Amino acid sequence: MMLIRRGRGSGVAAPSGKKLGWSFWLCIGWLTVVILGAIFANLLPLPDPTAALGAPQNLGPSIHHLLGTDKIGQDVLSQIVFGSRVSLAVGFGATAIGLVIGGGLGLVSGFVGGWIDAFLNSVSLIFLSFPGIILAIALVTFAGHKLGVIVVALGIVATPLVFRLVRTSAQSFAQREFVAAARALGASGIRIVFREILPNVATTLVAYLFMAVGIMIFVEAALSFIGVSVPPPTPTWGVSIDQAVSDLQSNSILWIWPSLALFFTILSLNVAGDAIRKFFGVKESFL
Amino acid sequence: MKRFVLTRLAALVPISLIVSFFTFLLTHLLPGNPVDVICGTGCTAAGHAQLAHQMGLDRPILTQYWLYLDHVAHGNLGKSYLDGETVAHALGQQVPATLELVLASQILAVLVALPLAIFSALRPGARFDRVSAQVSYGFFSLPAMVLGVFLVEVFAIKIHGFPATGYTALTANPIQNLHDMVLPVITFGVGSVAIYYRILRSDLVATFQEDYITMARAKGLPTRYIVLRHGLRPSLLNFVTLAAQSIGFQLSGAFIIEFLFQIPGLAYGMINAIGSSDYLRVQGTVLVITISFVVLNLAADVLNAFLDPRIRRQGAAA
Repeated sequence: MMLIRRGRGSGVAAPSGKKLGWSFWLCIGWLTVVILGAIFANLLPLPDPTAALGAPQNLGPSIHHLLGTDKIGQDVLSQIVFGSRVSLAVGFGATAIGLVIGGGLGLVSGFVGGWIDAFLNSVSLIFLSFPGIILAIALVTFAGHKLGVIVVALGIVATPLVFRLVRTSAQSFAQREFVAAARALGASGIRIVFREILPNVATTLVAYLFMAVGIMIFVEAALSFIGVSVPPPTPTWGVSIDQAVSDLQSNSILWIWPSLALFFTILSLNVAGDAIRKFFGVKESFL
Repeated sequence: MKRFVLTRLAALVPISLIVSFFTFLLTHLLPGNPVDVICGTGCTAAGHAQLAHQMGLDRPILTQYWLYLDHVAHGNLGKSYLDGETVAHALGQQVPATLELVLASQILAVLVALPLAIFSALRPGARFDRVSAQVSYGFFSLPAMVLGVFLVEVFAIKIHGFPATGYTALTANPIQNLHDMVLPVITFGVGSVAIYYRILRSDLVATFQEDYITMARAKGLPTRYIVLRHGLRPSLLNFVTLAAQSIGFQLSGAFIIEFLFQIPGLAYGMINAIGSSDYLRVQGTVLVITISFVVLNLAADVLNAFLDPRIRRQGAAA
């Protein structure tokens, strides 16, 4: 028993002496603000994002409307805060689906090998032969423009990517000495997967999950920009940008606010993911 | 080499079959029923059944798939129920615009990314490398619509230098075509520069640490010769594969750009077809783009084998 426990620790890269750096904490700070804003949007002193409320149209920033109003008198800040809900739900929801299904199967596939591995790997390659955006658009178009459908559709896009990442990582750890030692001590396959391999794979995974959430938020914004996401009047960042673009002549700064929210959120996820990757000493590779 | 290419080409058959089956299933298994849409609001049960029969939707699913395959093999992707135009004809009209956008922007991206990556990789960790790594992260995180709208705002609305939207076919008026495509191509290209730069840089850094590079240096060969003759070739291997794979991700950029600049390409056509529930056009576009993506990846593998003799032998043995 003792030996197994000690073996588990030996595979994890020791992060001693390294720091995550101020940029990492800045990014985490921004993400915290966005997430808290999305959760507590109803409690914030914001006007209803979908109600025109008789407010003047195309108003500049003021104390009543911090980022002004759009062409039908809706509050821009409120639209962005409420719009973050869709982005975050899709980003984290789709990644969670990818993590549970793709990660679980990848772990099994990488550890067990044999025909199960060959079969699952072929299935993942088939899914990967569809460009992600096409798969997402096709599923949403034919299954309906609902939040749940979009989360599942992007979850399906994420699953084979997480699968391949976890599988490769699990394969390399399955051949390490501490796994052989656990086997020699008579540990069961399930125990080895959960106690020996999973903790090691997890460090690699955490870094890439941040980026995965960023990519999912990016794809959702693209989908809602081209009108293949949740239907109006639900505000999303992509729709806000699209509406601002259609009115670029009369209000030339409106597009900046949702664009900045989107950009800083994706940037934060990428920078934070990269900082964690370096912190754990995970080798850089493109998915 | 020949055998490797043939094995890879053979693998294309099952993949294409599976991809076409999935595409076929789209219109059949998912909740949105094409018959409902085509039949319209005043649809009777009899009219519904007749239409389903006309479209062959009342036959067994495998029979339907076989008919679909037979039609696709003859270049028949069905007709738009809106105007009766064949899907194949509509797609044929759209391909040139998308092809021009993708080719021009990717060539631009490689031309910018390659020298930047070489310069970074020659002195990894130096100021130039650190700054460009940060900047590339910024551009990597910049959604195409954000950059696109910024360029439109500055160069089309403030300066009136380029048109915000519109497209002239290359064959109709080449000068006007180039003028129209400047902003879209730059928007698309900048996003790709960040991706290509990161792939090439990390690869070149690894290559420059190889023994044969040290050997070449020890022989006193000029840096330019070492970079171009010894460094670039192995690094291009990974680049070719990863660049081809990244096209799948970058396609989302094509959708955003064709939509924003209203370029009548495949993506813009597909968005319109979705808007009007023109299912067969959506299905046809999915099929064409996916098969192109599969073929592109295959081409990348073959090119890889051409560049790296080791892969060639492995492939022939397998």
